Amino acid sequence: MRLILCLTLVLFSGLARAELLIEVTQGVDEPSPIAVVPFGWGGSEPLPEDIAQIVEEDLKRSGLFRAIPRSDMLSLPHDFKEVFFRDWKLLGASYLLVGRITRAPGAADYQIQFELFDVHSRGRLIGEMISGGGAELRDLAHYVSDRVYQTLTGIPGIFSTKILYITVERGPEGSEHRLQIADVDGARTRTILQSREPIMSPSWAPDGRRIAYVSFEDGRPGIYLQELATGVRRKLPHFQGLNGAPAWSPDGTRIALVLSRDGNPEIYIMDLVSGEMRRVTRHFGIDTEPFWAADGESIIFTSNRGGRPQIYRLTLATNEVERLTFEGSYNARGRLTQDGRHLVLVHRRSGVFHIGLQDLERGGLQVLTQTSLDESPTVAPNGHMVLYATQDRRNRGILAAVSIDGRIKYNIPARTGDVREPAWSPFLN
Amino acid sequence: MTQRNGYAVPVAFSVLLHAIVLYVTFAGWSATPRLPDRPKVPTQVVQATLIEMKPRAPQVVPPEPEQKAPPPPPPPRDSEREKQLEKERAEAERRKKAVEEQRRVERRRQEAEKKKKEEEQRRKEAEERRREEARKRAAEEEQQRKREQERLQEEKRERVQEFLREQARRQEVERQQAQEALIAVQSYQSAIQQHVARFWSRPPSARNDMQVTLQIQLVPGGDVIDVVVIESSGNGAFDRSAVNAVQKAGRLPVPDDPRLFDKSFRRFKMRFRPEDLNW
Repeated sequence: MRLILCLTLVLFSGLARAELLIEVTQGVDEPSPIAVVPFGWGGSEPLPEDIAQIVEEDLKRSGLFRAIPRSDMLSLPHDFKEVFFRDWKLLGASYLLVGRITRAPGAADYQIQFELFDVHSRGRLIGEMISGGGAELRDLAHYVSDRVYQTLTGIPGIFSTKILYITVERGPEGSEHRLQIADVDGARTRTILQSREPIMSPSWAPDGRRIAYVSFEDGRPGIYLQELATGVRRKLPHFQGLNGAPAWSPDGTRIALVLSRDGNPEIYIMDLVSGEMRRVTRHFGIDTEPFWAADGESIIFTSNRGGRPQIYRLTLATNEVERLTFEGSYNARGRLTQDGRHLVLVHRRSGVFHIGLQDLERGGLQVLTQTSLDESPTVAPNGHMVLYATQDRRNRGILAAVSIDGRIKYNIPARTGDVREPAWSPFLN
Repeated sequence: MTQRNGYAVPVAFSVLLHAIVLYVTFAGWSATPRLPDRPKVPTQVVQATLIEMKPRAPQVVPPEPEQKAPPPPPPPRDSEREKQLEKERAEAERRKKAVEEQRRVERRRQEAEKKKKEEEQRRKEAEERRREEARKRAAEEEQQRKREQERLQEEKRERVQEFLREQARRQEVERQQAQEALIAVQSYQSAIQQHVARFWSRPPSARNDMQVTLQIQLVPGGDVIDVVVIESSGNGAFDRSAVNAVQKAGRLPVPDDPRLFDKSFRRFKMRFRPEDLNW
């Protein structure tokens, strides 16, 4: 009895003294509800862009946010003074973005002042003022999206980044190949190169100002470097056989590429300053699709040296080659995330090509997509999204995106023709 | 022990006395009715007893008739003899009478004495009885007192036992209440946990090794009135996701019992530590 008493006391005192601690270890990861109120504009003429709309679309597309429809809004505040938090809580919004656009009389630039609020805590998370010309309104909007995204998710937003991709239009007089650049939301598409001959393997320089690609415009494959702003381009020296798959080194001074001048495709590194060429793989199998690790110390590539296409890592300092993928009979087109932890690749499972993700730290390969004929994955600079080429129901090539945790998926519908080989830009300043 | 020792002697004495009294009484009673049948000869027993008890009286009395009886005068002559005879007869008569008288007196005396002795005996017996009764009464009273004392002691013991039992009962009840409270707390704990988990959307920057601890304040009914980060994960978005989960949950399942509510749910901590993320 005394023992029971003691236990009781212990239990009771334990209960009484230690404050209750509840642990939550599971979540649902549903999109956060955010209200993006149309930004105020006092000007007489309508604005060329609906800033709030662009921001809302950006956030929605990220898969992490759900927008409160404008028609539900009880008021349209433009700054803190006009906000009634209760209304927004009632609508189920967790966050509230308001803003106002102004332009000084006679000035060319617009000024956008925006504020982000946490509806529950009624705290202001962001309060900023930015400005830009009429042609830059979309850039300003994407900047707002990036700020909101980074604040609320803890990772940098990629709404101001751009993508390169190839489109192919088959006409009566043959195919039309285009290298295009667009905002990551697909807007403001611009053709960089148009050709009757194939264009392949677009690749970004780490500064985001130059690109490299392979063009067959001369009737044979050639690697070109081009400045985006000026359109000035330069063709790399041509070698016998295959010239392909250019990949910029992280410091921007070298390019890895594939040449078959020695008989079968091997990987070379070219110094862009000195023009010096160095062969880094030696194998009778095919070595191709080089990609630089973010630290610049190693290159991953695809090789069939084991009999089947698998991904290998070449350490440049030692020339050591290490096989990275073992699951399945086809793993190719490897891309590393910025932190070097994850390897995104094309994985064949049951005869179907999917985008896969391999955790290089813990191992294990996860298939991210349910689509088929997935190819050419490219990782967003924040390491969170993967853009890849696939086919829609009408067998048209389209671009699709999937978050690296597989939770978020969306397609970017093609406007015309087939879309292939996307390349996600680095962060652009 | 000392009490028992103290009683031993009186009890022994009493038993002895009883025996003597009984013996005497029995003997006395059985002797008394027989006495009138043989008046001439005082019984040996009686006498012996008397001698034993009162040695003075029998010594004086019994020899007297024997001394007076022996001297009868010689018979006289005719007339004279007649006269003498007459005289002698008269004398004899007188003596006889005297003897009878004496005997009667003696008998009366004896009877008186016997009576007196019996009286004495009775008195003594009565006295003895009184004493016995007094003793008995005293003993009874003593016993009564002891019993009373024992009763009181018993009552006291009973009260103590009752108190202990009551205490044990109370403790048992408290223990059960504590147990029930604990179970209730645990069930509400997991209800809150599940409720909040439904509202917890982790940002993509969340990792399985992150954790944030919040201090949560409720009002009765479970409405959240305050959420404070008391131990940050270092990732603002992650921290905010936890705070938002609680805020969005809005009203948490809490016990109606105000004591239980005050004890555990008015203010408590909540730790968010994802285990179900990919990495």
